[in-house]
Amino acid sequence: MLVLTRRVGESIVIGHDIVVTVLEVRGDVVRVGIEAPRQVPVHRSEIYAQITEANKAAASPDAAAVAALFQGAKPVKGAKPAPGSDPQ
Amino acid sequence: MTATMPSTATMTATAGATVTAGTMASVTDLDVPSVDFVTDVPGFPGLRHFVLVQLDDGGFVFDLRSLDDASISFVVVPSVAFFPDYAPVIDDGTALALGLSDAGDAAVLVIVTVGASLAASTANLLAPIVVNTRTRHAAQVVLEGSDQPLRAALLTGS
Repeated sequence: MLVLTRRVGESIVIGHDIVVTVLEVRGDVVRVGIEAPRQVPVHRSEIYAQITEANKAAASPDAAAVAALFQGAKPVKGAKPAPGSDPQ
Repeated sequence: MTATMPSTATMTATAGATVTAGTMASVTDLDVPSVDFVTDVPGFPGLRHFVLVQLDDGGFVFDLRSLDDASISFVVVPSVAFFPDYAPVIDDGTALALGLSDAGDAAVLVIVTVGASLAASTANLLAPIVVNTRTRHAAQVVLEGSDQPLRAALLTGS
């Protein structure tokens, strides 16, 4: 890991178009500002880790279980889905 | 890009488009049932191309299948079908990345973690998949700073 020391108001440039600026330091809380291209998602790492974990847990469920599960599904709108048919 | 983002929480607070049930588009309106993600799905880097396979006649349950890795798929449901009051706020950065200028073009899907029963299945309301139905571009949006649950019971309120 690259370790840099910065003061309030100073920045770090990552690549050509990502700028991280230290805005405020108060006790053990640091506020940082991030400028990044819109296609670069910026997340708190613990939330990103939660989403990653949830996605992996949800990925590729057993097809038979899915079909069985939703045969009786009644969404709130009241319409009644027909039994699942899976073309692949 | 000139916008400064003091914190990710502020990104959400200053967001533009709110997608509500009344304004929402449906993925069943897509001319071709495929979507291209403009950002990686967390946990699945590099998988950007997916097809949506409708699993029921009503259009309430879909299989979102990766075209890049045939072993990867997700069960997704339109949020409006199961969570009619759910109105995620899409931050400006995401809206721009998706080319969304009109909230009416957005369809919102949520990923279902399939449990042993319907009652044990949950939906991820913290990170919905937003689809621009006009361009078929999609992104999994993390609603930073919201109180949305990562695991919402699918059957709540029904």
